[in-house]
Amino acid sequence: MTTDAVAPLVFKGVFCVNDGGGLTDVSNELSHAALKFVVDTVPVPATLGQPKSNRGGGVMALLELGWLSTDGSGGVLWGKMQTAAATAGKTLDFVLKMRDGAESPTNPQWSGTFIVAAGELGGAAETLSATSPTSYNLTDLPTLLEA
Amino acid sequence: MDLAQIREDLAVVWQTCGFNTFSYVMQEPQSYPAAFAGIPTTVEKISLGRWKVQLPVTMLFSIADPEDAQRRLDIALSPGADQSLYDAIQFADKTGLASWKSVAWVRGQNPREVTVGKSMAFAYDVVLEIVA
Repeated sequence: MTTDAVAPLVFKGVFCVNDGGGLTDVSNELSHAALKFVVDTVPVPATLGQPKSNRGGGVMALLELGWLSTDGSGGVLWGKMQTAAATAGKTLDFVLKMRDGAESPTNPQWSGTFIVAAGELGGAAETLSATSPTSYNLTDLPTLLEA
Repeated sequence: MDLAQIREDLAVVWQTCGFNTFSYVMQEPQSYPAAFAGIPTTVEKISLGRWKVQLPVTMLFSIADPEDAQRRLDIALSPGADQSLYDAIQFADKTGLASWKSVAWVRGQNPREVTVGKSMAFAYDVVLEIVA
């Protein structure tokens, strides 16, 4: 058995989106970002010779985002999402890195495409406009880049 | 986030409302009313690149003329009044400055008498929430 030294990781990296015009860094707005996946569990019925069991089924990836909802005219997440929601595919490409600095084997980044299923702008009067984390389905599993 | 620059920009806002401003600490003022930004009560990181700071700003009025001190405080706290501090903060939030992205009025609080140099003054705090 091998073990690996693991340093505690605080998320303070970079999040960029691409609506077709190139990557835009929206990290300043981002208060929450998490990649997740969920695997379906497929029950296998019992037979005379075998008890009931389970198998792993399809996998679905999710991107969870929370952000400060700013209404700036360009380069902000809300605007990019609203523009994407008006397209046929309703998707937005993203790049997520958990730490600052250049992408490397010890600082990998993930890229993918999420479906812009919901958006939010504004909030309670006289308080900071911040969205609660919302889950978005990815079209495929995210791609790991660590070259 | 540059707290020193935030102080400078806040000083400009207070000056537009007729206040003399201090840097960092209370000194013997040349004339009242005067104001200075105090020590941040909270400094939070709220996104990958933004900070939220709660900052009390202390206003000082001459205690020698309590009626005038109260009148000036009323003006500062009244939306729509000429030289309204509340309005100046709203304007600063709308126009935006290099040192902050937004500034919000949280509350006014803590009326009291304080010693400034060798004299007494009437003091009142306004707590601002600044995102930078």
